[in-house]
Amino acid sequence: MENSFGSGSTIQSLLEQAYKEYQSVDEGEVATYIPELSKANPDHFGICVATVEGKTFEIGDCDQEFTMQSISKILVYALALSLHGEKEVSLHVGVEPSGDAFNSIQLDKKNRAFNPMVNAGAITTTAFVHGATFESRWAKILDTLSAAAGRTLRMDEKVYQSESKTGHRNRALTWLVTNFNQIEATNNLETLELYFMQCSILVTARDLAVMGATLANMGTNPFTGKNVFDVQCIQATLSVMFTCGMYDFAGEWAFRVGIPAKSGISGGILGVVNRQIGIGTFSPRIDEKGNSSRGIRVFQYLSEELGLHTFNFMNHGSSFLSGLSGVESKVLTR
Amino acid sequence: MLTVNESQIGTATILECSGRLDVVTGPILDAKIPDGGVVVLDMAELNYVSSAGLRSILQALKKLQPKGGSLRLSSLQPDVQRLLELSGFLSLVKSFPDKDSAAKA
Repeated sequence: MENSFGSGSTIQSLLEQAYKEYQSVDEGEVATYIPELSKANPDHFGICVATVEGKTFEIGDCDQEFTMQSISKILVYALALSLHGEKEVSLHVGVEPSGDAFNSIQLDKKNRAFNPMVNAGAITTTAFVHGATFESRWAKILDTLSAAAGRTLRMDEKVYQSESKTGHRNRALTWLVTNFNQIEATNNLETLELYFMQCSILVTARDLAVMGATLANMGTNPFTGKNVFDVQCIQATLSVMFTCGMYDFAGEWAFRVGIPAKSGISGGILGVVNRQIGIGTFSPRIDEKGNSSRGIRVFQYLSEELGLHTFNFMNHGSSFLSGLSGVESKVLTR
Repeated sequence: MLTVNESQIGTATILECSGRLDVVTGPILDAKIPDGGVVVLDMAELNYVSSAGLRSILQALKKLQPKGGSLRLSSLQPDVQRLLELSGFLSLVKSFPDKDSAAKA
């Protein structure tokens, strides 16, 4: 029998196995709440892993573009933290999982959005991207996400128009956070448009993997060497992904998959294994909680086989502590 | 696929594993682990072990140790050996060059 070891070929063969296994899963529906999204091909399916050494492994439709939707929230949050620091950002948006749906119209006791992953919190986060003009603010967002992906990204104009025309609930949320002075009243609707635009940025599963690898690699894109995010913001960003990244499936996700991740209703999931890999999946059929049905399965499979879960028995905890005192488990050795 | 062939060397139970030990096949090995005694997992024909497979091995160890038993690995293929070394797994379970030396250790 052929030997399938050696880290590269093992990862590639696991991706192939996952693709084969879950290609036939047809649970869930393509999102329709933004009219333009309903035109997506439900059969598209792509999986990509990008390593902090700058290698990629992929299978399926990894060149297929789709709009980022909520996945943009995590990168703009990392940008906001890089620009203003955690203390300042936390004054206006919390880090507590709400357990509510992403579009929940509810604030915490300090009248902040519960976290940056619900829409109200994401709009608040986008407000932290300042600039002299609307265009300069947009350039800052697009340039940062492009740097994280390692290529020049662009926006899907039709999806943006569709979101902007129908996003009345998000308009209501914008006024709600404006009412509590979490964002500036002078340009709040401009901020909302920026939010719609960031959600409409086109990416591929490969882009998600590379963005994930950039987060995994302490904020530096491992393919281009460009520093994208402040190293200090990475721990905060991954924490919010871990607790709030998968809508109201976040607890179940932490339990079953156990890595920080963010999903979007267009069918993408971006996952991060800190200091090791980024994972991107794309399959537009989403479940009732807004997460890609095939994507969840792929992540669960890879987590099991590669031991990715934060609390997997093979994960040692603090490397610093190991270096400090040589703490190793000897409990089971006889 | 995973096949597990059982034999004896002295009082030790030898489980010769062949194929893949992963999330799918792990339960096959789990079911073969006796309640006690010295158990050797001979891995000469095992060409893939995933993290989920390592968990099965650890479970076997935890099942045997409280009753005075022990679990030993033997005949690891070079790539498997390397993986287990680098991941620190060999600090949990002892490994031997072949099943005879494992059974008699």
